[in-house]
Amino acid sequence: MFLPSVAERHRRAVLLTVGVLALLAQAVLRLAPLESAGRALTAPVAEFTMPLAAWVVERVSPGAQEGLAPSLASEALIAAEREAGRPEAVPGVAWLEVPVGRMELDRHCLLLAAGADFGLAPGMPVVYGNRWLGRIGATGPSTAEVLLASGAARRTAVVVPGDRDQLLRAVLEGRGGDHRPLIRWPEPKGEPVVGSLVRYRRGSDDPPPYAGLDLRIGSVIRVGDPDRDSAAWEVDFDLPAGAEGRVFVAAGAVSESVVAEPQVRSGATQLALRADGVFGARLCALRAAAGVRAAVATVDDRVLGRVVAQRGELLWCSLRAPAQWPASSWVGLDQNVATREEAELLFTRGGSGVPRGLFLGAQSDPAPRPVGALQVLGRVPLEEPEAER
Amino acid sequence: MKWVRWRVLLPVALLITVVAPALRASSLGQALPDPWLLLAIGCVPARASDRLRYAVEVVLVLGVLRASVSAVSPWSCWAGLAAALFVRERVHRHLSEESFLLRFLVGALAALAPVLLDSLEAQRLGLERAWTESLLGVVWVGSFWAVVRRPGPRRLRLDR
Repeated sequence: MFLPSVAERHRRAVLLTVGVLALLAQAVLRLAPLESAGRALTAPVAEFTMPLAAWVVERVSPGAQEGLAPSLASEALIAAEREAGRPEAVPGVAWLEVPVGRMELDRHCLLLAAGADFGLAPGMPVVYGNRWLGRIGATGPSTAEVLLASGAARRTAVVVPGDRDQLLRAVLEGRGGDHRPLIRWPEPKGEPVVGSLVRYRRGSDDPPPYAGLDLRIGSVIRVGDPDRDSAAWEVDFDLPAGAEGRVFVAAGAVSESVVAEPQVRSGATQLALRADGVFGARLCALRAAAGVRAAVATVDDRVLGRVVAQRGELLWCSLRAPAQWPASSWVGLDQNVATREEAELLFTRGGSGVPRGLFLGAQSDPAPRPVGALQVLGRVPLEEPEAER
Repeated sequence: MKWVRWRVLLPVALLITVVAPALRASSLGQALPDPWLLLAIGCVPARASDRLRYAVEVVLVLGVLRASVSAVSPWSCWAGLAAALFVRERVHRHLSEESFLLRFLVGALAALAPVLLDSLEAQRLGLERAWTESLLGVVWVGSFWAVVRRPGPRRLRLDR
């Protein structure tokens, strides 16, 4: 029997250690060029093994779907948002309906999926229903930023009931972060009534028709100790669930179109494999046209799952029951748009490329199976606004 | 010997690859062992570095087959299989084969790296994976190695 020398054994041991460590490093760090090379090596084998595996899966576990609530088109959520969010008509004010493209709540901003080309300009009021949200900030041709009233150093003219039965004129100043905005400089002298509603007041730069807007911002909360002269009045400003989908912008004049719809890419797809060799029925493989960048797959107008991996034409889609989706990724539709967990029907909340308002299913539905008309969808990425802030 | 092994190994590996998604999708699928890992552990000798070329070929082929029916990255498959064989060889040198528990320990330690890599991959793909699945994966490989590596009768051993 051939036995290598001690030096040769040590050399092999070192080489093996380095090789295994390099493989582990690549598995964890995922260098893109090596990843592509690995996938290129796997693809021809998958062309051969995947159809055979799919044939076996179909024989062993046929994919009949049972016990699902009837599908609702995404228009159901849009209609609910529109109904809850459309402000009252005010003479001299037209309302532009603009979908939200992305939420940047750490910056207290929303990025809208329409911009200067749609008639949006800095300073325009942004509302949802009878709620004041903020003003348009920077705009680009197809995107615009909403500066929420709660952002740091953002000031909004407000009125608030005072303790001497008078209306106090004041300024609401946002503080950013997790802090609630503060009521500053009330005029005439007085104290806001705790629990009373703070309302929008026409600022000096606003056109005269805006005086007719009756918009609430939030209710007054008292903080600090008045005996130590450290009392302050905060306002509990929050973003309504429906305002994550679309907002309404006040304009003096509007063009023919008053609704901007976000661009969504879609493409037909076919089932390649109903289950994954490692993770089982939690994943399925779909085959779409090359170059399709999809974020979500649907089956018969219902969300099948998020696209979690893509290898050329192959898309891997995670399958989970509607109730198992993270709470941050759905909105409920009961009688109003809501994020509370009792809502029976769930829709996608939007974000990370997933269009808003796709039907996820009822809370009690099981995970959908990839049986039926399959489609992949993804939102066109938004451009950042270019104007000066 | 090597060619005979490949003649047997390749069809078996292909069969496993074709059947694995259906088995995994069954109700007990998540409790089953990783078939490619068991095959690698079973067909590569414990002292893998003595047959280095064969071990590398096995890791490469089984890794490609595993990645061809899964969303798991091929690099993760190769790293898992290679790390399993490497750890098994290192630990096996220092522990007696006579004890079932020690053989189980060798197999279980070998399974740690691939199981951890699969958990990492599940996390990346946003999938929930119970810790019991990982534990079962380790126990399966440990038990498998403890059974297949059972020493024969002492009188038949060459190194007696």
